[in-house]
Parts: sequence; structure tokens; C-alpha cells
Amino acid sequence: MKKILLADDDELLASLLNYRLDKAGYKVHWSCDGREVKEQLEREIPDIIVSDIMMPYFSGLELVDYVRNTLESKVPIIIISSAGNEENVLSAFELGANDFIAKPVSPSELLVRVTRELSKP
Amino acid sequence: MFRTELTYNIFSLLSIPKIHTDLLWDLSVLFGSLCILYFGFIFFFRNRLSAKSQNISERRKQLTPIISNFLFHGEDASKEEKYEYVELKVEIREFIKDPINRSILKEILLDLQRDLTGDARRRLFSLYKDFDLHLDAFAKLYSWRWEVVTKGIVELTQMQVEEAYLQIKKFINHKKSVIRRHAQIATVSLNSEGIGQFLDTTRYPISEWQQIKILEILRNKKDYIPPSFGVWLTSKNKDVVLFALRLIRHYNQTDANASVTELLKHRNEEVKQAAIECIKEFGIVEAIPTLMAAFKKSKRDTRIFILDAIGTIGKEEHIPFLLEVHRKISNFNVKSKALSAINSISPETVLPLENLDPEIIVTKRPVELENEEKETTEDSESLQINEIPSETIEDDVVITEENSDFFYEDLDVFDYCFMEELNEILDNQKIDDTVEVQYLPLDFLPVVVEKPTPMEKKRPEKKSKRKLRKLKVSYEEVHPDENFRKELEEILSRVEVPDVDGNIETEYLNFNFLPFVIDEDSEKQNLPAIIRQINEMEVDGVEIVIPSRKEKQQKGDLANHEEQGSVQVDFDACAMVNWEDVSYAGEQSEATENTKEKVVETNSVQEQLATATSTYGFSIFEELFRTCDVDSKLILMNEILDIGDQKELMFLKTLDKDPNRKVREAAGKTAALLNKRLSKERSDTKEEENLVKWVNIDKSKGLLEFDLDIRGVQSENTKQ
Repeated sequence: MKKILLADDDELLASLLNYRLDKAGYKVHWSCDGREVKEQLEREIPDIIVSDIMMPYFSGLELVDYVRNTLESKVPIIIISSAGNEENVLSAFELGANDFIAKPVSPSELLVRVTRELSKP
Repeated sequence: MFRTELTYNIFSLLSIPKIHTDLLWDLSVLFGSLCILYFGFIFFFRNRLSAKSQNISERRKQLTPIISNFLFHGEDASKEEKYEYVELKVEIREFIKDPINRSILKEILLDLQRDLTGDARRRLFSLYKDFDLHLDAFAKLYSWRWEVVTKGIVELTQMQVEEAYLQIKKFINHKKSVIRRHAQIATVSLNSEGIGQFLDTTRYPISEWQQIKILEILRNKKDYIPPSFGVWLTSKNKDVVLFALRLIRHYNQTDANASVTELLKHRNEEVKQAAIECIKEFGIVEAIPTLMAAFKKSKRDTRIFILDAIGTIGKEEHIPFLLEVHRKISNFNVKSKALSAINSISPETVLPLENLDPEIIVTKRPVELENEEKETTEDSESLQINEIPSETIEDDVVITEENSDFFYEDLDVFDYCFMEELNEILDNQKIDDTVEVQYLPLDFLPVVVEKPTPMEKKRPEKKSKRKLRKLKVSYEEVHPDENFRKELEEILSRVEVPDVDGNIETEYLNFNFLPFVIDEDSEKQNLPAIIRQINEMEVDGVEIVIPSRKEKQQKGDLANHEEQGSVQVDFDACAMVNWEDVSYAGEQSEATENTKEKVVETNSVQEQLATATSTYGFSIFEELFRTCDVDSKLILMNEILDIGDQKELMFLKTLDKDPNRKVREAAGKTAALLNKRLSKERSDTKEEENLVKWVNIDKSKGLLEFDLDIRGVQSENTKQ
């Protein structure tokens, strides 16, 4: 079972996405802020990371930078961001993010993107 | 004294007031109790609120997976899952009977609809209705409190309860602006026909922000077919008209062009401007007259809009109007826009005129910063360019003979007519055969084959005479010697040319290209009336120059050279001669000097040019140099260096006496470089050139015989 690290401070949305991904057969670990994400990453590197850009303590951009430069991991990272936040998205791509999905999110679309990223060699 | 009082008073203020100690204790107890009570209340309510919040959070946590289950419950679920789903639904119905739970569920659904899209969002809306949560929102619409009504409208709009449309549209003209605004948005959002309902019924102004929000809602609607917004251009509410115009522009509805054009007469400037924007975007050319008519009664901003529109959709026929605007309107912005519009219609018509540094002169070559001399002539020239006022722009500039420096007649017509008249003159004259034939300097003549020109075939005689009388003769030279006519007649009559086999054949030559020289005095004495008519005519562009002594010597040399052999002449140079401007060198140069022929409008440079062209032809750059300024001359010299040949080389040498130092220097340099290039080219192509040999000028016969020797195959055939 593939492991997904879901990092989002919006409990309601995270819970919904967690439910959807879990239902699709993935093992999801949800972290509500950056510190928790960092601790989780130090413990274990997941198969894919789905992270919101705006998070307390540790933003999504910092997370990408941390994973790529500090941990030197090539784990796929999908960024969730509000529409109209293109600058942050571009920065995330420059730092090494693999994909991007805009809010409002379609859970089904996210599932497709996660599956696609995990299926890449 | 003063010090004593002050000290006493201060001392008295510092004394302890006489208050009973028990009272102080009572007050302390009172305030202490109040503090405890205050903090007690704070802790109590804080704990209560946090408990409530925690309770809500827990309930949310309970509800969230249930909602997730509802949202992602698939049609293809198994029977057990379906059974669980039904059970869950019943459970939730029981759960939301509690008002708190109900409100929590409502909050969750409202929060989620912001973050979700697609199929999950649609399921969310249906879930909201399934749990009859919309009924609570309906109930809010009947509240007497405006904020509750507003919440109800917003909730119904967010959860897309289309059934609420009929009830919400009643609030479109509510006296409370907040309710009104939300009702307008809800009306447009919940029903595709809501925009029409809103525009039909609204009586209040529609703010810009409101218009933007409504436009955004319409834009985000899927499969939305907008109505024809031209219908609302007749509304009495000017904001409705304005909004309709913006919607027309947004949806590119061109079915109301006439109405849009009519709105240019609207009293409201905003409406006018919106109409102008539509006209500009749709390119309604028919509206331009109305635009021009509306210009007079419009304010400054609207005028700028009008000029912008004319600049975009206008044509050259509208430039006079723009020029008039530029002349008459004093406002800087409007004037600038008028010029901008002119340049939009016809690019680069109006160039920048203001605040230009007259000392900056652009040349093709790199600017020389060292040893630069400021010449007054150059400055004055450049200043003249910059000081051209915009007012001098004329609507229609007609080039006439009077205002143009050079007026050229059709050279073919001139040639034809002139030679006709010449033939007539010669026919009527008695030529004295006893007069000794003298040699003419006809070494400049090209190879001529007798062939009637198209002009000769087409032009009737009468027409040519009529045109002749219209021609002006600027330059005339008197030729006193009658022998000249005889000589010319003989030339015209026949020329013997050796054919391929070496036999001499007589051919008749066409000398239409020859300039004609007549002695004014002798004409008065001897020539008939028709020649007098010719002399009264004026000819432009024909320049006849008195032959110099040098040429005379050259002629003598030529005569001597005949005996030695043939003279080789550069064929290309001959071919490129502009015979209209070739100066004619006759034997009578001395005689003409004595009789002081008048040569009109010539100067030293022109004489030099004529001398140069008599040998190598007329340089096309000469005409350009007569009219252009110093900068242009310098640029032209670069062109000469690229494309020039022997003619240009000779022309450059004549520029040695140019009044401008820069021109002189540049001419010298260019001539040197051109000479170098030509000599190199000449050496490369020397063997391929065709040469013309002029041989056998028979003095006794007084005829010129041409021996055409073309190297190559023809020359070989000739030898055979």
C-alpha cells in the first residue's frame, strides 16, 4: 500500500481528502501544520506528498525546499494552492514540485493526479 | 514673603487627609470582591465558550466522515454499503434535530462548498436539500432583521437553491442596500433569466463593484446563452443602460449597433463613453459622423474617447476633422489625442516637434566628435526642419507647376514634337551647298537603329503642334552659323554603316534625342515664321551649354585621331547618357561667346556638371543634390559609393567647389573610394565589355560614318 503524506491546516478539507484517498486504497498520514510534517518526514519518507502552500510554521514552499535540498529526496510532491496564487506555484515548481492542483479542489481530480505521479517510473 | 506663602501652601497640600480608616477597609473589600467577581465571570464564560467550541469541534469531527461518506458514496456500491448509507442518513436526520447539530452541519456544508468543485460539490448541494437545511434559510427571508434576511439570501445563493429564485427576486428593490445587492446577485446566480429580471425591474443605481460581480457570475455560468442586451439600452435607468452597454461589449453583441450609436447623444458622459467603447471595439464605421457631431457637446474625457475611437476605426477622410480639432481645441490632452489619432489612421503623418534638440543631426556614418565645426548653414537647416509649426499642415496639398521646383513634361512627347517641328523647319530652308562642311562633335552619339517609336505611330500631327505651343522654353542658345543646319540635314539624311560583309550601307538615323540650338538673332533675320514660333516657346529640362575650349581641342584631337584609327568609346557610358541634358558642343563656340548668348539660371556648379555629363552622362544624384540638405547629401554619398559609376565619379569631382566643408570632404573621400572600386571592377570585366569604335570620319564628304565593332561572336562574323 502506497503511503501518502497529506499536509493541510484545513481540517475539514483534509479529512475529506483523507477519506477519498483512503477509500482509493492509499495509506494517508495527515499533518495539520509544518512542524508535524517535518517530524513525520524525519521519521519516514512517504511515496508521495500532497501539501497545501499556506500552512502554519512551515509553508508548502519550505516543505518542497526541505525535501529536495535537505533530505535530498525525489519523492513526488503535489501542491494545493488557491486560484490566483500563481507566483507561489511557479516558485514551488522551481524548487522541485511535481504537480499542482488549485482550490476549490475536486477530490476525484486529486486522486487521478496522485495515481499518475505514483505510476511514473 | 512670596516664598513663605508658597512653601506653606505646598506643605499643606502634602498633608494627610482626614479619612476614617474603616472606610478605607470597606472600599478595599468592595473592589477586591468586584475583581474576583470579574475574573470569575471571565473564567466562567471562557470555559463555557471553549467547552462549546470543543463540543462543536467534536461534533464536526463526528460529522465530517459521515459527510465524506455521503459525498463519495458511489452508485456502484455494494448492498451492504447501500444499507449502511441508508442507516447513516436516518442517523443524521435524528442527529440534526438538535438545532446546534443542525447549525454545525450547515456550517460544514457551507465551508466545504468553497473548497470543493466538480461532482463532490454537486453532491454537497443535494445533501443540503436532502436534510431540509434550505428551509431554515427560507425562514430567514421572513425575518424583520436585515442581517438575518441577508444571511438567508447568501446561504440559498451559495447552496444554489434554485427554488428560492422567486422569493429572492422580490428583494431586488429593497430599501436596505445590503439586502438589495445580495438579492441582485442571487437573482442572477440562481436563474439564467435572472439577469433579464434584474435589469427589467431594478430602480436603484448599480454600483461598479456590483456590475463586476454580476459579470463574473455570468461568466462562470456553464452553458450560459446571454440574451440580447440591446433591449435594455432603452431603459430609463441610466445604470441599466450603462451595464447593458458593458454586457453588449463583453458578449460582442453587434445586433444593436444603431442603438449604441444613438446613445452617443446621451446626456450622461459615462453612457457616452461606454457607447464609444462599443463602437470602437465593434468597428462601427457608420457611427463616425455621430461621433464627430457629439464631439462638440462632450466633456474633455469623452472627447478623448471619441478621438481614440476615430483613430481606431477612422479613415484618411477623417483626418481633416482631427486636424481641425488639433487647431481649435486648446486642451493639451485633447490636442495630443487628435495627433495620436491622425498617426493611428496614417502612421508617421505627424512627427514629434516639441522640445527637440536642433543640434542633433543623424547621419548614417558614426558621429565625429573631434574637430567638429559648427556651421551656421547646417544649424539653420536643421532649425528650419524643427520649427515647422503644426498649423502649417494643410488638408490637401496639390503640387502645381508654380509651387514645384521642377516640372517635367513628358520627355517622349517633347522629343516627338520637337523633331517634327525641326523637320518642318529644315524642309522649308534652302541650304547652301557651297558652304564648307564642318565637323560636328558627335562622338557622344549612341548606336542608332532606324525604327519608328510607338509615339510616332500613335500621335497625330495636330495634337503635337498644340502641345508644342504649351511648352515653355527656359534655355535658348543662338547658333548664328547657317552651316549648322546644313550639317544637321546631311546627318539626318543618311549615314553609311558597314554591314557584316563589309559593304557600306546607307541608313537613316533617328535623331529625336538631339537638343536643338538656334540663334535668336539669325532666326529673326532669316528663318520663317514657324521658327519664330518655336523660339518663342519655353522648354524646361533641356539644358544647352556653350562648348568650352577644351572640348574644342578634344574635337581637334578627334579629327587627328581619325587618321590613326578608330576611337574606342565605353558603350555603357554612352548608353547611360541622358540626352536631354547633354550639352551640345559646336564649332561655333567662339562665335557664341562673342554674341553673348543668354544662359538662364545656371551657376558654376551646374556648368561643371554639364561638362561632366557631356562625357559620361547625367548622374541621377545630381537632381537629388540640388534639393536636399547637407545631411541628405552625406547619406547620398554613401549610396553613391555603393551603386555609383563613372558618372557619379565625375559628379563627385564637381562637388569640390561646394560651399559646405563637410560635403566637400565627403565628396573627396567618396570619389577616391569610388574610383578605387570602379578601377577594380573595370579590370575584372575588361574583356567582356562591348566597345564601340568610331571610325572613318570623312572630312571631304562631311559625313560621319560609324564602324560598329562589337567584340565577341559578331566581331568574328564581321572578320569572316
